[in-house]
Amino acid sequence: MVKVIFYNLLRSKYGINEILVKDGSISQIIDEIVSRHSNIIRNDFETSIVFYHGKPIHYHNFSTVIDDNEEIIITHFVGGG
Amino acid sequence: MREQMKQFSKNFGVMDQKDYQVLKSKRVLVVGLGGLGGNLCNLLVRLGLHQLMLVDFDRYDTTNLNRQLFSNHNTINEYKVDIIKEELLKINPNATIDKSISKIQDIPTSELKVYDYIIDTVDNPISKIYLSELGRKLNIPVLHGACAGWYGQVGWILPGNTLIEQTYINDEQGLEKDLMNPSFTPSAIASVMVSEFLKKIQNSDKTTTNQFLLVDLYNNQIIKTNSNE
Repeated sequence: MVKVIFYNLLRSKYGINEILVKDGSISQIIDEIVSRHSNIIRNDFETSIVFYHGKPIHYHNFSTVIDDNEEIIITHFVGGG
Repeated sequence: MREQMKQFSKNFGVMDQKDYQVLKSKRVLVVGLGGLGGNLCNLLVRLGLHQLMLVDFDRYDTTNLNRQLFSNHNTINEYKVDIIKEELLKINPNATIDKSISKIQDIPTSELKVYDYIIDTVDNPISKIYLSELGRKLNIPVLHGACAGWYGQVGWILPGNTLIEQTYINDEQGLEKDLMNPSFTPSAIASVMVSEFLKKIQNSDKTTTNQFLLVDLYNNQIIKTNSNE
């Protein structure tokens, strides 16, 4: 299983901190999250950023596969000063 | 001298004389003097930093009043660098505060070789990427900070690391586009940045380096992006 940590906007909006899902690509992981939580809007992930082993992964690279027993953070970046 | 030291005496619970002397000797380039930058400069000078270069091209306007420390109805339309320099010298008249009313991109890199650290408190991805590249050219670390709504992120970027370039892949704004910046988040994130700065001065292994410390004030949580560490 993959531990998915919802951070900042997603956590505030959906009140979910962590979800355990089957391993697979980030897109597949998001599909599973959306299928289990009907209130979650898939479009919210298009502007999100996923941190996996400290590396940021953007929407166009959501085919990246996350292995079993790994952990990802799904968040949205901020750029204000 | 003793009276001058007394000003910083309450800092000595988290730092010592050696740290203070290191802090005094460092030259810091602060780029972007909005909500983050103004608060950060205030805290750095109160901590004991003596040598700062302030870079910002903007003037205070009415929309800054909710969060930018030295903005008030008397400073609207004044250049931020002028007001912040004036206020920092009121806090420590012995500090050396240089200023430039310009975009960082317009300052020749050769003029920036004297600095030990860059602090990124700019509000746009293009400038953040420029500062990361500048750190690489000058071979000095960049302390990155950003905020929006209830959230912020902080981290040291060492020369050669490309986390900033990987995160800000185009000139699109992040959450600040919709959530903007309330009165309290910039000062909270500036405080986290200054604690990171002090740890760097102290050569602490607790600094957040080449990753982000993600701060979520709504859910009261702080995590690092490399959560496996």
